[in-house]
Amino acid sequence: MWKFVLQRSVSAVFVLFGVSVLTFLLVFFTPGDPAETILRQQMGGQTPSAEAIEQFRANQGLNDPIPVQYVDWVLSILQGDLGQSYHSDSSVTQLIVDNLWPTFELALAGMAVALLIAVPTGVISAVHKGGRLDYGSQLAALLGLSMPNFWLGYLLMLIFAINLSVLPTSGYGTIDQLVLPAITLGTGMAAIITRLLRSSMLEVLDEEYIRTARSKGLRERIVVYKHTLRNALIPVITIIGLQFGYLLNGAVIIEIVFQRPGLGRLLIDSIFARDYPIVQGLVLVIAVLFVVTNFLVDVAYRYVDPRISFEGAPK
Amino acid sequence: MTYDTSNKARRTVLKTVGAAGLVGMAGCLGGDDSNESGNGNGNGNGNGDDNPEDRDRSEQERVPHATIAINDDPTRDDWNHYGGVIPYWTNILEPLVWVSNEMELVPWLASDWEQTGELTWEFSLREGVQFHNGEEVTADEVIFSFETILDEWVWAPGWLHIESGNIVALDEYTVEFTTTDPFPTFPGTIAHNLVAIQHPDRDHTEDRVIGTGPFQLEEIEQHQEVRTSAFEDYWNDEPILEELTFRVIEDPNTRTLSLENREIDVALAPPRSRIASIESDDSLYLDRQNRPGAGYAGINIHKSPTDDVALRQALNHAISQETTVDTILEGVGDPGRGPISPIIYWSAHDEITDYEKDDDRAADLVSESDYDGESLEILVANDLVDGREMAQVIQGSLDGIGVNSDIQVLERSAFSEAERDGEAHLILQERGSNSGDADYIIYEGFHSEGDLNQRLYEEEGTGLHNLGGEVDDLIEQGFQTGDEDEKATAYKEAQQHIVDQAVTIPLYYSEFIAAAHENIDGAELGAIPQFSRWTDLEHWE
Amino acid sequence: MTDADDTTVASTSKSTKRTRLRSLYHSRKARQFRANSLNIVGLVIVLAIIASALFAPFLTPYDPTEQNLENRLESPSLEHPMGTDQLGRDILTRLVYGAQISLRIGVIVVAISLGIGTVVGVTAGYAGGYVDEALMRFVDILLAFPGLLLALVIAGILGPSLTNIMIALAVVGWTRYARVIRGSVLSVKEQEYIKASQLMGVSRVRIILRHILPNVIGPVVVLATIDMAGVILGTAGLSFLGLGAQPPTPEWGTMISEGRNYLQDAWWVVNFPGMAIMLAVLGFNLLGDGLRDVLDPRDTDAVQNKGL
Repeated sequence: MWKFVLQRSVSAVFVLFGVSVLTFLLVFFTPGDPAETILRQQMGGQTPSAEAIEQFRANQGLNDPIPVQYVDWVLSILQGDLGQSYHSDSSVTQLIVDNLWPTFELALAGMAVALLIAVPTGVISAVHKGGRLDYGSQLAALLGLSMPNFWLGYLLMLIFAINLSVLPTSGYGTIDQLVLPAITLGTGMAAIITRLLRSSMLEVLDEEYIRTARSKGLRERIVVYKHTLRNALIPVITIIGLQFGYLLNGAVIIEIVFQRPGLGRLLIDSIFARDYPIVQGLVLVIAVLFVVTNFLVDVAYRYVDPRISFEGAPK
Repeated sequence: MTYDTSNKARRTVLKTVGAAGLVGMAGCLGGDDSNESGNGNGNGNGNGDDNPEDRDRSEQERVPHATIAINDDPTRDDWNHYGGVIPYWTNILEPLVWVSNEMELVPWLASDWEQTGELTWEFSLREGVQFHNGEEVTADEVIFSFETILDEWVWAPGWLHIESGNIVALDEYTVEFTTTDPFPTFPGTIAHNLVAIQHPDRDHTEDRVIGTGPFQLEEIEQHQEVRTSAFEDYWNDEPILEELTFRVIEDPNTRTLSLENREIDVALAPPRSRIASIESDDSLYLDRQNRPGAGYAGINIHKSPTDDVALRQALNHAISQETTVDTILEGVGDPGRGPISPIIYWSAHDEITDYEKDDDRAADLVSESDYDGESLEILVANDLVDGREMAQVIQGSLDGIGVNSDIQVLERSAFSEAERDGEAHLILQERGSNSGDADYIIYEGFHSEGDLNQRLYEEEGTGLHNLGGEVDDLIEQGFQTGDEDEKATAYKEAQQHIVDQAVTIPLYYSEFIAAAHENIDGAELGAIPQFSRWTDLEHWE
Repeated sequence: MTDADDTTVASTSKSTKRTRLRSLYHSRKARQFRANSLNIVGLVIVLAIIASALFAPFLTPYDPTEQNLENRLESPSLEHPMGTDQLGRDILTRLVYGAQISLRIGVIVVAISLGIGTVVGVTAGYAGGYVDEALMRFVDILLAFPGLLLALVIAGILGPSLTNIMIALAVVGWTRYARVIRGSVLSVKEQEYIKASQLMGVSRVRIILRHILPNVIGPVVVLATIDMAGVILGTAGLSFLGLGAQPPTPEWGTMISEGRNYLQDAWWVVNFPGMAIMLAVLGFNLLGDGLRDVLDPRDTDAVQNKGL
């Protein structure tokens, strides 16, 4: 076990290093000289003079060799300083912290919706394997997976906010404003979980002790719900952790459609405003969160599921 | 100050105008005696039959609060020096000079002003005006407010033509400003929401905003809401409502949906696509107000093939402004004939000739010109309201006369870059004024040293929309005179040249709209929308 | 050779082709594929979309960019089965031409991803050692970014255009192919006959082409099919955000984005493109699932990543 954890830690640290290099280099791929871009932003589109650019480069350390710049950048990040936004007075760290909770809240609510849909559907699908209900729920899951979130969001808005007038169209702060975004985010994820749960259920249903339980005459339903579901959910729940990336992908669109603050919205706004320090900071933070979650899930998965051996863990 | 239809761009544009630093000239402008001004074809309230003023409210009771949805987030964090809100929209903070719907300057926190020398201006403050914290407005707070702006924004000195230390108190209620160079439009320039007067005790860390307006801040919910309450000691007419909430809803469609869902009472700037259904909905009505702006496609007259006046005239004949306004714009705004809205008194709208829609004439002109099948690039910013549609209408119209084109939609800052670098042939834009001074619209757009043309003019001796020579002279002449007739004559002649040489394809004159629930009375939209007033707003059961 | 000989050869090869097709149709795998009616549904949807893209000009009398401002926002009718949009263009026509765009982007992005993925995967798998280690660590690093967010940032930096969307999606997309192909190469490499060929002095390239690549085709076809769905969805999402097609291109995501203001008064403007995206994505997903059951019996456990 510890050998495995150590192995994964080393690889995670290596990946984090690579991620930081790529993120750092991101700004160098932007068209034009970064110094000129920044100065132009600050001067509202005016072309800065050559002296101004040179002075700015000197002040910002942009004349140093790139590895030196990278080390400086990493050192300040390790102190929690992700830099300064071009446009506003806020630090990137502050902006990210401010926008963390709304996205987290959306993700939690979306996950709740996903489980509410996916658990019954997955169970029904597995129990009725090959039957009409199975086909139906598989198709429903795929439909959920295939519907673009931005269309689904508008559709829900049209039905529940306009035609039925039971929920607010958009905004942030109250519980009822969270319902439609959560459903939009949840349906796509429900599809993924349904499929996972179905195959996991089928696997467990096939196992020895379930067959024994059945033969002992326990009522089918109890067998299914009590034993199978509990066992089938273990891998599913751990794998849900891996859907972190999906959650963020979805949050971008949903925060735009429903006018919510959050990390996704911040990212889009910064990309459009060419506020590269924010883009850089966000990409880095998201990637780090992603790597750390994957690492934890990996370890947890092996911890809860003794069937998986620790030797020769796949790369 | 130019306005753009975008929120994000506003600050950038602001900076641009400031940094461009208008070349000041000698001249003098009287005080607030601008009692003569053409207000064009402005119409006040919208559709006749459910005009809110006509409703019988005798059976109804007042509701003491209302919510207005705005598209512009007043809590963006770069406004710390105003305690955390932008002085736009909310009526919390007020400037020295106000602007009427006829684009006249109105004494506000300053009761009077006059030019006392080539560079000096004396402003008399209204006595007995109280801040929200109970203290009186005196010269000290005015100086503090200006110094804060000058210190906060590097572009402010260029914009206002004053520098730190050039504002002095002559007595408790008199402030003297010394401009860096002769600047006849100084009073109009500071008739701007961003030049608001505030108390030094404001503090953004505690959301403490201290202005003089009819509504005072109760609570800020960052990026969501600004809640205000009536200020009882307001110096002017006290507001009718007790509480007024401003909710930030950036998406225009959602703003209207929220109104129809009764989550809010007034929605500013609903999308044009929703106008027909708002008008047909008995529980809603539209308010309209002409604003000092115009939408047009600026033609790059220094780039082949649009350096050919025959081709430019052909393009003008290809477009039907009436159809564009009636269809894509859903009747919001008026068909344009020139680049300056007739609500501005020196607009040449009535004098200039209209290029009628005439495909045959256009096709003739195309064959007269040197045009040889090149594709014209149409540039449009992604935040220009209905810009994509207008660009496509232009493209379709040009198709009809055998001229090819490509559309490039860019986000605002990339757009500004591409625009100033002269990459496109046609640049779709809406330009107008956010202050009592509209002179710079013509200066920044059409003078060789104006913001748009400057980069290419200085680097390559060309520009974008600058005819140069006589037009530069006329614009300077209009800019430096304090005499309204003289200014109008010079500017109108400049516009005449601009239209004759087909430097633009005019599209529409801007109009600001708001949708409100029928239980709401008394919204006073400003010609400069940020100057809208909410003191007479009433909400009925 | 005489003319007569030619004809005989041709007709023989034709009939062999037919026989082959027939035997393919009756093969165990094909029967297995047909057994699940969802697979058939997927195949039919995909074929229908390909057909409408190929025959777009014959399917509709209108031009996708032809405006008719007098007839804007008309509800569905016999003349315009899906109504007209805000510029009076026929929506069905735009959807049909939009299929060309979506498919073209899908095919190009998948082809580029597949190309890079194959080169990297084969190199890593075959060379092994440090080369393998270095390449796969690089893949790990790219996979540390949530895919579409990275695509979003890349497309945002490059500026709005369909080409840039393709670049962004390919940069993000090739890593999964590299992994799958490397895995297959590794498992094939250890087999006796490959070792034997190596000993016999058969060139590396030849071994790769003749023995290794044919073995990885199954999983790759499955991945590519499902990836088509992902790319179509990703393109639509990025275009919806304004990073994609320039007007008047009839790209589906752009159509939704441009039509969203008309949601209430003209439901057809947004909902038909929405359905088109959904159908296309659904079709490729179903087909991919079906192919996986047939071609890739080891349940690869590949969980789809729904994008934006």
